[in-house]
Amino acid sequence: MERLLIKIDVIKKILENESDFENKEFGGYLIIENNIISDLIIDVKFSDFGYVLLGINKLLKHETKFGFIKGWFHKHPINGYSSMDKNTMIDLTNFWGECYSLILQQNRKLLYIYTILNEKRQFEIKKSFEIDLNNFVK
Amino acid sequence: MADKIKIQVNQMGKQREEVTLEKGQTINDLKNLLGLSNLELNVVDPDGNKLEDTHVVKTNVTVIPRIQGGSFNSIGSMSSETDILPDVINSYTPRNRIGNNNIKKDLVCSEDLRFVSLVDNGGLFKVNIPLNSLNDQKHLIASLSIVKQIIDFEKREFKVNLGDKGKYYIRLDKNPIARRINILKDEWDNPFIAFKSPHYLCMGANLEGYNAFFLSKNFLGCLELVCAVLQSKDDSNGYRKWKDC
Repeated sequence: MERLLIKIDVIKKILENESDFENKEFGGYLIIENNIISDLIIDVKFSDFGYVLLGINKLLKHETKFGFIKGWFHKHPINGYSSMDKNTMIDLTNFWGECYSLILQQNRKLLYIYTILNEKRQFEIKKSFEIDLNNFVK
Repeated sequence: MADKIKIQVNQMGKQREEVTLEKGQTINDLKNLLGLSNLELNVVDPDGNKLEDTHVVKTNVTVIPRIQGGSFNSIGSMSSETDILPDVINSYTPRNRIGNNNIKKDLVCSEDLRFVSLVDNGGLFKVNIPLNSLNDQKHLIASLSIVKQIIDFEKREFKVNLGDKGKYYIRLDKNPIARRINILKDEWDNPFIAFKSPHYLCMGANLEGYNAFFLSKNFLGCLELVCAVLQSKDDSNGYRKWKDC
C-alpha cells in the first residue's frame, strides 16, 4: 500500500479557500512532518489572475510550525507549472535541499512535485503525481 | 567580545542557529554569512517588522524566502517518473497588466517581471535587463510618454542573451493572424516559449532613456509590457522605420 503523503486536512483547506479566490491565485506554506504534508498555512500578500505572492503575517503566528515548513502551495489557472513556479522551486530547493510543491491546476487536479538537490547538487524532480480534487467533496 | 553580538537566526524550515556578528554589520552582511545572498528573502525582527538590507542587525531575526507563483506560460506538466528539468527557461513573465484597453499614463510593472537582454542582429542596439532583480521595493515605473519611437516589425528577429543561461532568439511571426513572438534557444527551429499574444502592438524604444520594450495585448485584452531597460546607448541605425503605436 502506498504511503499517505498528504493529510486530508490539507486538501480540505485548499477546497475551503478555493471559492474565496475564484478568479485569483492563492497559496500558502506546507508543513512537512515525517515526509508527509501535514498542514497548510494560507498566507497571501498579493494575488491576481495568474500571480500570487505569499505573505508572512499569518505565517509568523505559527511559531511552533515554522521549523517544519518545507514547501509551498498555490493555485493557478493553467495546467502544469510555469517558469516562475520553476524558479521558485529551484530557490526553495536550494534553500532547504528539498522542496514540496503543490499546485492546484485549472483542471482541478492537484499537482504534487517533490524536488531535491541530487548528489551533484543539481535541481531534480524526484517525484510528481496528480490528485484529482474533483473526487473530493467539500 | 565587546565589539561582537550574538543573535539567534530563525530560518523557515530549519533549525535555529546562533550567529556571531561584528557590531554594525547589516542584514546584507548576515545574508552573505549565511550563504543566502542569491536568494530573495524577507528578514524580519521579533516584532515582525521587515528589515532592509542596510539595516544594522541588533536583534534576533527570522528569515523567510520570498515565494511567488505565476502562470502565464506552462513549461512543464505532471510526470509519474523521476524527471530532471531541462536547463532552460528563466525568461520573463510577460504579464504586466495595465488595464483593459486603457493606456494609462504610467505603467507600473509588477514585481514578477522578468527581464531579458536584447541585442539586434547587427549588434547595434543592446538591451541588458537583469533577471530576478526586482523585489518588493523595486517596482519599475515606465511611462508611456517614453514611447517616442516605435520600431516597425519589419525587423523580426532578435538575439536574447541571458548570460550564463545561454543565448536565445526572439522571432516574430510574419503571419499577421498568428502574430506570435517565439522565443528560441540556440537554434531557430525549437521554440521553447511561444508568447501567444494575438495582438502584439509594437516594440517601443527610447534611446535617451535607455528603455526598450514590447507592448502587447494578452488573451484578456490587457496591455502588457514584456521587457524593458536599455543599458547602453547605441545609435538606432538598426531601426529606421518608426511609426506611431
